[in-house]
Amino acid sequence: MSSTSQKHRDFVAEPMGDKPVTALSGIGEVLGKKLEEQGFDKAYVVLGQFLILRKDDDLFIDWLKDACGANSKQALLCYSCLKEWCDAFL
Amino acid sequence: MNFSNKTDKEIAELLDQYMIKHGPVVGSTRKLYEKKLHEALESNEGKKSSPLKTIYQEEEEEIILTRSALRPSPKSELYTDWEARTTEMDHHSAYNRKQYSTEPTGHSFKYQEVLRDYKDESQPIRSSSATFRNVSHSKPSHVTAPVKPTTIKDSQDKRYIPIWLQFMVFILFAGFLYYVFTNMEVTPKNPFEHIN
Repeated sequence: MSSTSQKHRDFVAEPMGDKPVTALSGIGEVLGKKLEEQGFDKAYVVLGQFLILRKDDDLFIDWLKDACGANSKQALLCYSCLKEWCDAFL
Repeated sequence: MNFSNKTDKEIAELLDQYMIKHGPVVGSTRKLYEKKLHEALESNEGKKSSPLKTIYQEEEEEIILTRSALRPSPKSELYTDWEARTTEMDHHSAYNRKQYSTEPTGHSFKYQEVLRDYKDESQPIRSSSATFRNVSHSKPSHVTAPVKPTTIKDSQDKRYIPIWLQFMVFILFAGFLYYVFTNMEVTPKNPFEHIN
């Protein structure tokens, strides 16, 4: 049994399509709202940012913390979620 | 230093200079990279120095290191040596004092103390490493030596428990385990041996 949350598993199971940014693991209501204010209203926009940061963990986590005030744990969850999604679908 | 005037390309070049890994510099990533460059600049500020200062202090370091290498001096003696020789750096002596009160003067750690103090007093990495080289061996080795002092210093800065304490705890624990191991008795195969 993996140690990932249900949210993570749900996200990684299928193409993200138009899912909102709150569908990402680690991103709840509060963080989602802050990201939306910056223009990251859909999960694929955050994916875009993830890709342009070369899928690098340090860079993406730094960026996410800075952009919406996520803590290390939340940022890491989001990173792993996106990374696994990319491994499966990109 | 203000990075907002720089073009995306210049930011990318600066990131390469500071050996910061990065992706393309675009609208959404610009702020992050500027922040990283600010951090890199701030951490570099402590390492900058003028070349003339380097030469003078290099000699001084050499003298102090060779003296401390000859005898294991007690804390106070070493401190007075420092005081006599670092009149030029009086403004940092308060910081030095604080350093000595918390660190031991075990022989092997003197090098680290010297390196750290000089590092904080705006010394370039190269001069401390040159001194380090001068004391230990005469041949100049340019690649490996500069790396070692910085890593010692960097890891030293981030430690909350001093390394000597960690080593001591480790050795004590290892000793304890060894003691337990050697004192373990071999159980006789037949528990009823003695009775017979």
